[in-house]
Order: sequence, then structure tokens, then C-alpha cells
Amino acid sequence: MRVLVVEDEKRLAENVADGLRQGAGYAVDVANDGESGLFMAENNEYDLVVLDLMLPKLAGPVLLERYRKSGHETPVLILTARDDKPSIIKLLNGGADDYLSKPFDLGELLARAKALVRRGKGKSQPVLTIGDLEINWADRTVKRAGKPVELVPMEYRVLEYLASRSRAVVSKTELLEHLYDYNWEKFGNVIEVYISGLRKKIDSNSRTKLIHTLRGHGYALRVEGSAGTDQ
Amino acid sequence: MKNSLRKQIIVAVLVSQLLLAIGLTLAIVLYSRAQLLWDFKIMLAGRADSVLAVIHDAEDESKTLVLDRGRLSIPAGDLVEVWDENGSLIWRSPNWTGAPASVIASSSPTFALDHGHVPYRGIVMRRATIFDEEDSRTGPLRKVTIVYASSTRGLNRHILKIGIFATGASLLLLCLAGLFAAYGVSKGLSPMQELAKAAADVSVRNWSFSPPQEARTKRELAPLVDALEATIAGLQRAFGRERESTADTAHELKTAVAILKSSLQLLSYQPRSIDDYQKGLDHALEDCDRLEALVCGALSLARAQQWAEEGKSDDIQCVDLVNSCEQSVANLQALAQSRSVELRCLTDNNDEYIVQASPADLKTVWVNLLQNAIQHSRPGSTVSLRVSASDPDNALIAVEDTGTGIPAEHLPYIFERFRRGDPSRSRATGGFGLGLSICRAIIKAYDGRIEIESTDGVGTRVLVSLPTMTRVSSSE
Repeated sequence: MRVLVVEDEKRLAENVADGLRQGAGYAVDVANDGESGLFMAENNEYDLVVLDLMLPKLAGPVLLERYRKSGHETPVLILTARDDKPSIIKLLNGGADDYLSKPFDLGELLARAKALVRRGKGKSQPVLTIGDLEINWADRTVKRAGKPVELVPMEYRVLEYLASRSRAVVSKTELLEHLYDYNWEKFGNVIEVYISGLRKKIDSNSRTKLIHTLRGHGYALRVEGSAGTDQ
Repeated sequence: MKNSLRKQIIVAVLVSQLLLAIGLTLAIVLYSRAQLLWDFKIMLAGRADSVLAVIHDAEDESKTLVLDRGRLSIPAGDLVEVWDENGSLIWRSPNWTGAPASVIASSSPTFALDHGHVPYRGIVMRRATIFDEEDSRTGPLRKVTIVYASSTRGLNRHILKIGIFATGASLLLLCLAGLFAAYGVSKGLSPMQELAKAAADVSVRNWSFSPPQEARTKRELAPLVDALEATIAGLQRAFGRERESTADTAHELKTAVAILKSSLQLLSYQPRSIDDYQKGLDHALEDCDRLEALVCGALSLARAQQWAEEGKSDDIQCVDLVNSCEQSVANLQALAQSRSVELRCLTDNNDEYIVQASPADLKTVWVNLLQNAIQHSRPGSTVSLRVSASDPDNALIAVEDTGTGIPAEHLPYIFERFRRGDPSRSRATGGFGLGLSICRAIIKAYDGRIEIESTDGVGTRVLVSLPTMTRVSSSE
């Protein structure tokens, strides 16, 4: 998952970004003003935008309005230091998905971020089940047939993203878009390495294979031939 | 109980009208009395003349004058006395003892007396006349004195009637005028009451002030309406500014606290190495310093603004301006060197500028201005502070840099709190945008002026002018 943090207070932006990276395992981009925030939000695929309201160059509410007008469905979490309810209501009605007042609790921010990402993908269950594979969004643990599977962080992120896309075929480009932040060089073969790692840890001991490669299209995480088991 | 303005005005009107009525009644009565007395006197003279007509010589040789009682026709009750030139009584009304000698001797033709408890008024008429003789010879000129008095009871009754009528009419008119005054005053004052009601309706929650249209058209009330409108609008603006400033300060404080809190929470989120903890704690300490600086800045701004409004400060003394500037420049040399900026203090040591201020306040201003200049200067450039005289009563302090300058669109708001020329850049230097606000509040408190001139990319000059007490100059 990839998150954009738009916050002009650099230290706060850094802390939020670090929290999201360490606590949720997300790839995080940071924009320090409204203009670059909107530019980044419109030109990259994000799974969540964390938006401060008082921003130089382009105010948060305006950014939100333009972002929604250009048709983006990505959940937006507002950070605000003003506790004035009318403007909160206006923001929520204007396309924001949630808000947190400063000073906030980092744990709460992470929980809300995860919940927003989850709901953004159309999932409400805290544990995703695909066949006998269980993925716990909250504490980022994976079980196959009831047994814990140890994954390296990047492997988990690939798995989580594939699971969030519900049996759909996910291209390598899409995976790269959503798993790496702006500053990373994106090489497709990195994904292949993680996929093969995941195959080894998840599928090698089972008769039912869950990770499928569709040559030329991408990858899918599903119980082949079954329907509706991806909840 | 409160005094009613309406009551006061009505009472004032009624009292003045009462005085008018009393005066008018008195005038009427006095004039009527004078007129009636004049008529009375003429009547007396006529009656006295009729007495004179019935006086003739006596038949005998004595040459005395006698009064023909049979022909005398005067109203009953009138008193008559006729004397001849020798002072002997010719005739006197029966029931009368005669006028006092003083009356006859007096030169005044009229007199008043009481007869049998009835007021009388009379005249003394002296006539010289020729009384006809039977043989048609012209007789000698004979002088007689006629004293004639008549009761003034009827006259007095008449005057009393006039008085009663005038008083009654006055009182009736007074009542009517009072009613009219009460009505007029109530109606006249009603816009004032409505205005007061409109003013009372204004509160912190509701600033809309709608004075009655009638009050606006009244010459006496229009200035009050204007003054109220201006005051309320001013108060509303001040409240708005205050609210905005509180919200701004709260925003900055919450953000600073959010940074500190998130730093600490991030640190405790997962086990880390000693080195990481050390780094995290250092970060948290930096965040604390920022928070502290913000609180101190907000407090000194509030204090300076309060002084600017109340016009007083503790610790006011005579400060040598050059000395104060030189000290601040010396204090900032280290910062300037660390940024490879040359910092100069240009003053003519022969000049001495004494200002009345708190030394700490002035230092705050110079340090803030110099810090801004140094932070926005490129390495190798120069920041200068120059003290000179703008005019005999004011010292001019100019802080000049050839740094990054301020974009023209930010200049009008540069003195507003939490306003930063370019937020990202200023935040990088650790400023909160309070420095210039504090400077302006302090300079304002000392009746000085502060202006800023800047060209984007070329440099900035801040000009501070402060009133000086004396300027001792040996170079002049």
C-alpha cells in the first residue's frame, strides 16, 4: 500500500511517514505544500492520502475538492489543528473520509489509516480469508491452514496488496506503483523475487495453489475455479 | 430609581410655562387695574365737577360760597368735602368726618382711605372759578377745593374677576400645553429608546446593529448612531482579530505538540537500539525547544501588544540607542559567522541618541531583525545595522541585508503573526513568524514606526524610527 502525506510541518510529516512505514508497512510519500501535494496525488496511485488543512500555496480543503473533482476515489484522512465542527462536517461532506485533530495519537492515526485503506478496497473484515490463507490486516500476520507463515516485510506487502484486490489480476506495474514510494527505483524483477518467495512460503506445502501467474498480465491471489472465497 | 429624561423635559416645559402663565396673569391684572383706576379717577373728576356746578355765592353780604344741597346729585355713599380759599368748610357729606389734613395739604391729586371699613379712593380738586351773580356782574375769581372720594369696592371686585378669569384661562392652557408636551416629548424620544434597544441587542454572539431609520434622520441622534455603528464595527473587528489570533496560536501550539507527541510515540512503537533511542530523544528535545520558543514568542507578543495598548512597560529608562544596537550586533556575531555572513554596526560614535524604553525590549527588536536578516542572507554577504537621525526628534535604525528578499505579494502581511515569507524556508530556519509581530508591537508601544522594504531576490531593509529625548552631537 502506498500513502501520500501532505503536511507543511516537516518534522510532523516525517513522524507521520515514519509511523506509517514502521507501523503499517506502507510506502509513504511526503509533500510539504498544497501544490506539490495535489500534483503528487494526481500523478501517482495512492491507497490513502493524509492531508493537513493549513498548507502553503494551496489550502487543504481546496486540494481535496480538486482531487475529488478529477475523479479520484482514494480515501482521504484529514489532519486538523482546528476543532471547529462546521468545517469538519463540510470537509466530510466534501469528500474527506475521516479526520484526526492535532495533537493526535500515532497509534490511532495508524489504526484509522489501516481501516481507511481496508475500506477503500471494499473490505470490512479485519482478517482476509482466501481458501485456508488468513491475512490479518491489523497486526500484519499471515496463517496458512492455521499455521503462522513468516514473511519479510516486502513479501507481506505484496501479499496484502494482491489480497486487497480480490482475485483480480494485478499487473507488475500496479504492484510497483502501490508498493514503492516516489524515491525508489522501480524494477520489475524485484516483484518476481518476492512472488517466488511468497510461493515458497505459502504454496509449497499445500496442494491448493493460491498465487497464480498469468504470463503477460500479472498475478492473482485466489482459489482457482472457486468463486466468492476471497472475503 | 432612575431619572426619566422624558419626565425631566416635561417638568422643565411645564415649569417654564407656569412662569409664563403667572407673569401673563399678573401683567393682565396690573394693566387692568391701572386702566380701571384711571377710569375711576376720571369718573371722580366728573363727579367733583358736578359738585362744583352746584356751588354759588351766598345771598348775603358775607360773600361766602354755599352749596345748593337740593341740586346736588351724587351716588349715595360717595364722600364730598368742599373748602373755600380761606380754608373754611363750605359743605361736607353728612356721615363723614372729613379727609385728613395731610390729604388736602398733599400735592398728590389722588388718595386712598378707609371709611367705615370700606376702601375709598378720592381726588383733591382745586379749581378757580367765577361764580355767577344774580345781577349779571362779573364776580371775582374764587378758589375752591373739592375733595371727592368714592368706594372702590366695585372696582376691586372687578379687578378680582379679571384676575380669576386670567388665572383660570392660564391654568387651562397650561394643562393643554402639558399634555401636548408629554405627547411630543414621548414621540420625540421614542427613536432614542429604539436606538437604545437596538444597541442593547448587540452582543458577542450577535454583532448586527440595526438602528431605527428614524434615529438616523434626527440631527441630534445621527452622530450617536454613527458613533455606535463605528464602535460596534470596531469591536467586532477587534473580536474577530482576537479570535483569529487565538485560533492561530492554538493551531501552532497543537501542531508543535503533535510533533513532540508523534516523535515520542514513534520512538516507543517498537524496540530500538540505544543509539536510535538517543537520536529519538534528541529529536524530542528539539521539538520541546521549538514548543518552548513558540510559547515564549506568543507570550512576548501578547505582552508587547498589551503594552502598546496600555502605553506602559516596566523598566523604562533612558537607553543609549547606539550602545543598545552595538550590544545586539555583538551578541549575534557568532550566528553570523556560522553562516559566513558579515555583520556590521554602522554608527557615528559622535552622535548620541537617547530613547526612553526598556533595554530588554529594544534588544528583542534588534536581535529579531538581525536574526531575520542573517537567516535570509547568502554566505559571503553583509548584514548592516545603521543608526542615524531621521529628523531632530527621531532616530532611524536601518537593518539591511542583500539576501533572498521577500516576494511583493507577502509584503503587506509580513507583520502579521504566524506569517512567514515562505513557509517552508522560514520553518527550515525554525521561525514561527512571530518575530516581526513582536517587533512591531514593541516599537508601537514606544510611539515609533517600523517599515519594511524588500525586493525579491535583491534584499530587505527594515526601517525603525524611534522618538529620541535628546540628540547630543559634537559633529554638528
